[in-house]
Amino acid sequence: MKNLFYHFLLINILLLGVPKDIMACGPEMDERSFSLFFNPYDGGSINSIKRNYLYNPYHLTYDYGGSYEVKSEKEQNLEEWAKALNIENNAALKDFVYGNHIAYLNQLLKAKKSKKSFKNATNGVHNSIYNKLYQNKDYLEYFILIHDYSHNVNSYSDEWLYAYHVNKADSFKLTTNLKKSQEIYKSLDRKKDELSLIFKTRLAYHLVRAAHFNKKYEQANKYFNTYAKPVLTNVESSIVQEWLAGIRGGMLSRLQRKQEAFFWFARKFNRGTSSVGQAYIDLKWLSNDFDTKQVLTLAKIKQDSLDIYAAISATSVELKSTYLNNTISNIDDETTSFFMWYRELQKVEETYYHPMNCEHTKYRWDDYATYLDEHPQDIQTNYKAFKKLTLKLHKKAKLLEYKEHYTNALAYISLLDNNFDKASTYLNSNFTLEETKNQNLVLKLYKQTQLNSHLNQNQLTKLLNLWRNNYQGSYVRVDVVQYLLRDFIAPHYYYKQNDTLGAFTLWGFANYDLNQRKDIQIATSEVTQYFMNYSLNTDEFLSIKNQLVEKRHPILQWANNNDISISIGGYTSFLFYKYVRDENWLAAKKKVSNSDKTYYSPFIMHYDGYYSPTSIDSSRPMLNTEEFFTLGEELKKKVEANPSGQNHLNYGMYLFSTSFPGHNSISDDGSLGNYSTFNNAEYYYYETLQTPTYWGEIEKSYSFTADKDAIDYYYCFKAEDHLKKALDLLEKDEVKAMCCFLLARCYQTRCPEPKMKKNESGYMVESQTIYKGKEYYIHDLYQKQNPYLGQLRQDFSHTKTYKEAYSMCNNLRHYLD
Amino acid sequence: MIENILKLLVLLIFFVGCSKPTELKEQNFYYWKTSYQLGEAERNTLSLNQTTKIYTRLCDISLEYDKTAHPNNVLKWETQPSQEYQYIPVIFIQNKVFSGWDEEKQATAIRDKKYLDKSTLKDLAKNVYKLTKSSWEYMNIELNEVQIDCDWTESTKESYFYFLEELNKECGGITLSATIRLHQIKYQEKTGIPPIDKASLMCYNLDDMNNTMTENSIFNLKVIKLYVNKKHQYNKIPISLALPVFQWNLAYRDDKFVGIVRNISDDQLVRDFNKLEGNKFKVKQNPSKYKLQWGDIIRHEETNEAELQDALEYLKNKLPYWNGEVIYFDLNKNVTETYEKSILPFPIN
Repeated sequence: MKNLFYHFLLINILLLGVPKDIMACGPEMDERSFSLFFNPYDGGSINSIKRNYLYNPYHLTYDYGGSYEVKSEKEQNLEEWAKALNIENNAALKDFVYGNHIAYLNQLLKAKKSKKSFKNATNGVHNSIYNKLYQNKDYLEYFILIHDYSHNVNSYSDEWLYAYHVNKADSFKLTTNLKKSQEIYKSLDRKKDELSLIFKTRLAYHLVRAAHFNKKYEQANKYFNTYAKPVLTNVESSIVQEWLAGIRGGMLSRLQRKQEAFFWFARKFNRGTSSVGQAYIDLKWLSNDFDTKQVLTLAKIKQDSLDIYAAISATSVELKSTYLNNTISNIDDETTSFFMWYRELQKVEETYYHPMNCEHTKYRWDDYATYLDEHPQDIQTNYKAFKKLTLKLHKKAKLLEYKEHYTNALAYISLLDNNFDKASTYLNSNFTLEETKNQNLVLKLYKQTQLNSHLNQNQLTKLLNLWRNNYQGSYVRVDVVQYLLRDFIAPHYYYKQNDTLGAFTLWGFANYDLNQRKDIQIATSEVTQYFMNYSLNTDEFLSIKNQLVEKRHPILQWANNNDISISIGGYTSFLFYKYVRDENWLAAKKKVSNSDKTYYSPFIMHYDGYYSPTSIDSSRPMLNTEEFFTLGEELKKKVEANPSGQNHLNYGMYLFSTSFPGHNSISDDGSLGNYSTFNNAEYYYYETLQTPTYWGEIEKSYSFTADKDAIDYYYCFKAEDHLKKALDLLEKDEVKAMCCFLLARCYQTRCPEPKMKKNESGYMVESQTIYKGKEYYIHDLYQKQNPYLGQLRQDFSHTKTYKEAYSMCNNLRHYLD
Repeated sequence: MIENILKLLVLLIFFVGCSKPTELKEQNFYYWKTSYQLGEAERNTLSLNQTTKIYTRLCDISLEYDKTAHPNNVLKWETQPSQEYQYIPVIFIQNKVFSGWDEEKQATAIRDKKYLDKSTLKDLAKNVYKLTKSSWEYMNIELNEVQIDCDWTESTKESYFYFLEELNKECGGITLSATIRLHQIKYQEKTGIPPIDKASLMCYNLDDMNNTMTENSIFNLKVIKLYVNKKHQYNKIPISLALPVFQWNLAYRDDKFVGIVRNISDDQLVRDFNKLEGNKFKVKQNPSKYKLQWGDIIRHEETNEAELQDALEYLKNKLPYWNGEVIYFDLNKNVTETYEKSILPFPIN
């Protein structure tokens, strides 16, 4: 598949078909993920040059979002020289065209003028090139002038001179160069052969650009009319014609003839190849200055108007379906109209479909976004017009490729309008394109989901082969198959059916393009990471590892048969965290035995806001991993053997030090393994967890049950348990106050997530709770109601510990006052 | 004889130790954009601070694909330089330029105490001067001083200092100054003292911006005190103090630094963020407007006049060769909004 449109279709089918508890699409999604649905860098049948200029809501004014590689201007230029001179396009040609060969060219010119034969004139350097140029002294003169302009007139060769960076020409040298160029032009003008015409055209461009880039716009305009106009031809015929169109637009823009400038840039944009990017930027700037539709009056022939329509479309970020609907009959070119329609589709996605399906999607950063908020009816009207437009184009399409795309679009629209029957009608067409065939496979799977029927092994194998075949060079777009595996097959047929290993493996697969590698680490999938880290206890995790090693699953067997090796990736780190949560300090120690990590003493009290290490910590001896985890084991054994207040306090402080964020917290210790980045305590508190969406891919949220040990450990329940016992058993008020303070800290980690609500502007904001007549944010209220803080104030405000904490901890003052 | 010398020495130390610190004489600015264009706000700032010198970033010099040094982002003059000010070009040079790209070679070079070959460094010095001179000539500006900005280290000091010596030869009578960082003051035995006529001590970007626990990564007197904890003669090189007047918002996601958000106005900070403790804020609405996500925390960092004044008071007592000049980083249109009069008060004569 090559058309992103099918991604939209696929994802939206999934959104409609899968229960919300699995495929939640709500406030927890990051709205920017949705920009990937749009993925403006791809446009199916639109050629790679134009695909760079599809609509991108995140690059509204200053940039084009394209990432498709096109042939560079330099490459195209060299190709054209090779063709014109009928020589090989090689390094020698490149060196000749872009190097500085004035001296040798002058030597040849002198020989030519004295009528020496080529053989007697040359020393053999770039022989085939010079042989061609030696036919005509004007050809030699041309390159002398061009090299002179690049290397002498503009002082381009020395980057350590300021002039190099400001493009300043030596005016005397420039004048001499231009004068000579005009002479050679006239000389070439008398020749009628094809090669002389090529040189003449290039010399015309040289004259115009030399004047233009040296800010002599009137002179450039004059040169254009005198020298370039007679040699102008189709933009698509040569890179020089592209440059001429661009330079014409540039000078007209400088001369404040902006609509004409737009006309020329449009020509270069719509039909150019290598130099389209600059034309797009120029068009964007100009489009701010006037209503671009006015430029249509400048069109003399059909092609002019097509160029202008394409430019209007490419520079517009506003909804234009109604306009297009009214004008599409004038756009008698399927490639141009498809490009325009596709950009419009992307805007409909952004403004209509995504807000309909998910929260937080209609985000743009321009005034037009505000306008749309104030005029929601425009979005509805535009959508209706877009449907009509698609029907019109479908009816009008002659080329099979476009006909099929519009058919699919109509199916897409029908599905999103909840008209499944109509969608089936469109999709049951007899498609020929690879992507439409695959689309039918998606539809069949979707229907199966509706009927709750099982995925059979054949269908799975077919899908897995589609994924594998991409590696083998088959014409299947891998990310579509990845979407299928990750967001459809894995959750629906495996996760939902409690086949965790199957789901993990497919999520892992979906993270890979086999073009890149055939050894797959399934934990590179964020969903798999979360499940493995937060949900599986140690035994379950080890069991998954064993099943993987023993290939106890049809998917693993298929992978094995296809030479694909599968491992967890980050196995040691996962296991380390699990041992820590299990308080299995000796096993944890083994897992990090090679680490040179050091730890602070866990017995230092902190009363600052974050429990962050201070100079006091640094002044005490640090513990290495051996010492630190051995200490954990010792403290644990001590409290088990003798559950005294002091032993509970010591072990409670140890647990607190390793689990409360900051200080020795294992959860945010990046030195312990690559996977610490997702070992985030934030997720432990909730019994039902939701994976986050993954920036860079469409990866939905999945809900699952958290491992109890993880919750208890990272939310300091285990520390709290010991500290509570210490508080009960210890007798001195100072140390009891310390326990109370630490308990308040443990409690603090469990503040619930705030509830969100829409404010008057339609944005999601944190809702406040009324408590005793006052409004509070949930974090505030939760701290205010922290029972240990209350106890600290009530029972221990006379202690030095309390006073010290009060003086150091802003937070404490805030909530106790 | 020895007794007399010792007496003299004691007297000298006493004299230097007890001499009255220099007072604030000049408040100048760094201009750190790639194109020079002064608006009304900037001109106002310069006027309020009686600025006479603008330290203007000319270019960055970095190692590129061919493993040689190249100038980048060379300053473009959008408006004519004003006759009212003295313009001092500042050239930022990547430390990597003095160590090379090849890590293996670099390690060997450090081990064997062999540094970049002298002819390369000599050429670089010639080239830097050529670019500087041609730039200032191009705009008809008098060239009185050249400043080099490089965060050199122990491993690059030999090459860097040799380069500076060569540049000094190129400069002739022109003052050669260089920036120095706090660590280069504190560990001067290791990092050395560069062969320059004047130094500019950079007192900003002091703490770890990646750390969520950092109070203010731009400026923190506590950090300055850690580095400048005694009097430093620094070879009696006149030292200017570079102090920050910029502000930014650092964004953190899941306690990890994700980037700098510059485009948040005070109004937006109140409207779209919930204030947490200290200078931290949590996204309340419109996260995507700032390229943020729900749950992101930002830390708003800036430096106020009182903090700058405290730092100045502290540093002028620790740096006996402070020349009375403060250079602010950097001149931007927000400075006037933040500081309504001269940033620091000049002493009353």
